[in-house]
Amino acid sequence: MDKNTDNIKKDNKKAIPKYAIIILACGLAGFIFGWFSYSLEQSDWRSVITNGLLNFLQIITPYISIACLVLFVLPSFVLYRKALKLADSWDGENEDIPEIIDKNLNIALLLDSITMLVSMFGLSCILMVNCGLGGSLIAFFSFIVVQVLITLIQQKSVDLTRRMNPEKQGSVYDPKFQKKWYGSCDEAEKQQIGEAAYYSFGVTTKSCMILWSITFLTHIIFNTGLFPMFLVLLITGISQISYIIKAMELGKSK
Amino acid sequence: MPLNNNLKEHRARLGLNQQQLGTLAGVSRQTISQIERGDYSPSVTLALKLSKICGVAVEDIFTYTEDESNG
Repeated sequence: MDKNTDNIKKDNKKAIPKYAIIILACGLAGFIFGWFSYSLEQSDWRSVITNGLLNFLQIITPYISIACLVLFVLPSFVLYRKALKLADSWDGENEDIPEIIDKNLNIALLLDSITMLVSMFGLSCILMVNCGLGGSLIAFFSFIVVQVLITLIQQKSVDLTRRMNPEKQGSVYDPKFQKKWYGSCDEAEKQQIGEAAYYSFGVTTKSCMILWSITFLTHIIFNTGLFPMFLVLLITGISQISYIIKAMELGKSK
Repeated sequence: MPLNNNLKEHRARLGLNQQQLGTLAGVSRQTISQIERGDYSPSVTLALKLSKICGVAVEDIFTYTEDESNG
């Protein structure tokens, strides 16, 4: 027990200087950015930046989802088709083919996720800028088309994964898909999901802290209000609390 | 990873592909592939299942070598 206590004290002593430097660096960065934000708010540059951004968004908003179609949806579909072709020609023996299929499908699904976020941003921009009735209709309908296409690609990708792995269960259209899919995963896959989820939790926590700082500074410059900061803290809170509750639940004896 | 295995040789002896062995053991093809590559150490339950399928003792498939840094 004494050796363990010594190790704990030793680890803390080793980490504290680096931690202190990070805190000081963040404080200094906060001071510099805060001063810069205040200066910007007082200057004419604020309206230049605001107007410039709004003008830019006004031009691109009708075409954001169309751009997603070309940059992300099309390559996603190509990757899915490549995976399908490989799956159709697989003899069941070559052990490298399933790895390539999995990789193609994972990238296709990643592109779909990016598409969904960017096209939703594009739709949100309609509320901020005046791109006319025509522009708004283009933005809206292209958003709908893109959402339908990515849902179809997701369904096809999941179906192909199930074809390659017959033990997998769940339909993309089922509200309980995530639960059913996870339930059909074996021990190695669950461990992989756990490690990936823990990594994601860490990244999300750090990102939310950075985002809170950004929303804090943008409020100084552009008077964006309390709501963005509140939302970021809410997301952080949901992530942290749900993680702790689930960890406690899993730690209980069954 | 301190756990070595020769699962691939036993699987070849039985004439099974990864998918077939996975189905018999109740795990996915990817898991069998990861075990054979040494990227995943199976649980005791899974190791026992695999040894039963192969008709050998667990120690005939999996061997544990002490990590030098822990010595």
